[in-house]
Amino acid sequence: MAASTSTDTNVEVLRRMMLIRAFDSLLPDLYTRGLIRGSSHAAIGQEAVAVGACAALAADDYITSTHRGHGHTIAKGGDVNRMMAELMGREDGYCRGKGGSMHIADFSIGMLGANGIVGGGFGIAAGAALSARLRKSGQVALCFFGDGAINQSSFHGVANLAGIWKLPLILLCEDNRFAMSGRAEQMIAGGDPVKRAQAYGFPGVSVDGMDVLAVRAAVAEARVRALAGDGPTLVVAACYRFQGHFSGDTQSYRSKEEMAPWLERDPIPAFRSRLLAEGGLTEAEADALEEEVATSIAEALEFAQASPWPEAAEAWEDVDG
Amino acid sequence: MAEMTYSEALNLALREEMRRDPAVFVMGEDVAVWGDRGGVFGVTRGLAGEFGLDRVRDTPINEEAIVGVAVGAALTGMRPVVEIMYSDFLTLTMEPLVNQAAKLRYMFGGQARVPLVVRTNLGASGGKAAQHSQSLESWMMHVPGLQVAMPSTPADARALLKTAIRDDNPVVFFEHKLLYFQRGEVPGPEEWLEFGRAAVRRKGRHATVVAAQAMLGMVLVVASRLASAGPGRSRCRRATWPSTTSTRPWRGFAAPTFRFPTARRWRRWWRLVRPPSSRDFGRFWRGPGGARQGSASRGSRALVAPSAWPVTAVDHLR
Ligand SMILES: Cc1ncc(C[n+]2csc(CCOP(=O)(O)OP(=O)(O)O)c2C)c(N)n1
Ligand SMILES: [Mg+2]
Repeated sequence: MAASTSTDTNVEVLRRMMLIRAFDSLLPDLYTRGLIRGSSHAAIGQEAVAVGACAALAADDYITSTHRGHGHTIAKGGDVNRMMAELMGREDGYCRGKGGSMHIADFSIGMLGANGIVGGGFGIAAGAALSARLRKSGQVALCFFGDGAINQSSFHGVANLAGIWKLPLILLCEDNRFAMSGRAEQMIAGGDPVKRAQAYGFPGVSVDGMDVLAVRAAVAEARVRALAGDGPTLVVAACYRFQGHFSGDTQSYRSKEEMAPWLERDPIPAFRSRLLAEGGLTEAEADALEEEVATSIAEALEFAQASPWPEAAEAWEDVDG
Repeated sequence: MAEMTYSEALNLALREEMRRDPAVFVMGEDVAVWGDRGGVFGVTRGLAGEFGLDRVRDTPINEEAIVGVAVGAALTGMRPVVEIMYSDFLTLTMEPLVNQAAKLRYMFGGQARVPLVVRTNLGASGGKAAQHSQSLESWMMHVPGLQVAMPSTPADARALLKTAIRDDNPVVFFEHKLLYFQRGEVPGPEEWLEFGRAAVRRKGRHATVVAAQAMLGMVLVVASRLASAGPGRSRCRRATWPSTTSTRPWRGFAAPTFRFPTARRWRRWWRLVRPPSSRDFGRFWRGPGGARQGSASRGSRALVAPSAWPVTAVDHLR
């Protein structure tokens, strides 16, 4: 079945969330089987933030992503075949095998890259926003970042610059409560990160990151502001990382009791039930969607494993100086 | 052919490239409206008047944000030329410069272009002490993906900056504080220099001296003295393009040829290349004004070249 490419419909929103969940759920098994190396970080539990935000953007708007970036790429319309090939270091990967999980980028859909540096996306997103302004292109840029990244100096430098220049920028904080083991409430001075927007003269909006439509609405509003020349918005989406920071994380820093209420609010079953209840989806369609996602993932695995390894000489390509 | 200062030549290159390509824009601290100048060393003087404050942007003081934003603009179709007021402040740009600008094209498998120029200046002048005088070009040279350009003359300054702006990869462009007010001939509009080539300034058979920027004048003076008094004639190169990632030897770079001189010749050399006296330093510290008065040395023992640093030259020759 051909995948639809727009997030105009709620069904497509649900499909993308399911695809992210299925993609990231594979990671531990791929490690065990020795098919992928390096670090990769699952966004399981946070799908509504990525999909809700990208659903509010135009196809040519820009996003920058983080080390936990698979979901952002899928949400923006990335190709899971090339993503999987990249994870496996193959020639048909997005970066021809040179980037791996933390550097997937697809410039053709405005996805300016995941990033191995926490806070590495702030400057890039603001620069893309400045570029859009100078070229009068009508694009906006959205920067995904974590509750840990908001403490980087790059956040503050860019928030100030974007504030004075009123750049068409959306700063989207995925507040999943943790930066590795560091708890947001212990690491962020002043408590709620959303207050930081006020210091830089633009609105800060808190949104339930487990509710995909709420995220979409908040980002849509921020986008209108950005295009009207009113400058950036900080959107803080409260969510929770369901799994460890990375595959091998023992998670000694949190308890099952703490996790339980968040796990009950899983955004995917919640949105599925809502669509079923509101009549936007039938049971049969929901089952078909599940099958479609499973097929996409199986195909991605096949595609990636069939893809050749890069030539050794390519290690020297695409670098000067 | 026109005579102008190094600083004016850089200004000319910026104007020419901004007129040619609307994607080129300038950004930095005090580059637009500072005094009647634009830029602490006057390199961006008058650009805001010609191109407007959208394309010549004064920024807040946050070097990390300046370069970070420039990387994003470069990735999305612009050609930013940012000014870092002193190269010492490059230390605050390491994240966007080293982790992002230098690596994105490579790590994204060639789908990204980063046509970014970071202009800054190195060298000691005017008693500004150790946080405004560093020469960090060798750090930058050791970052794969960054190109380093260091013009030595007004003509080179203009031509190399044009090359840097048109290049699709990030370039750290080091100007030299002591050269800003040196004058020289600058040829017609379209001259630009290919990256990666050293220029032979003086031909010789016995020794190769590699020098860049302010050292060039010094080396040329010493070379002409050696040519008349030393064991043989010397060859002098002006280096504009250091590279470390290339596994090839520097193109056109010849291993130094050196014939060991006799003891008598050593003594003659020593008289010429002895470490400078305090009087030499006195002249040096007078800076560009003093340097413009020329290289006429007082007495046969003085080792004074325009805006040069005598000690290093002596070290090289020993
Ligand atoms: C500059 C930098 N410092 C530290 C790290 C190591 N590190 C990787 S992810 C991470 C936590 C980031 O937390 P957050 O921004 O909240 O994102 P999350 O992992 O929760 O998605 C850390 C410390 C890094 N990659 N880069
Ligand atoms: Mg976090």
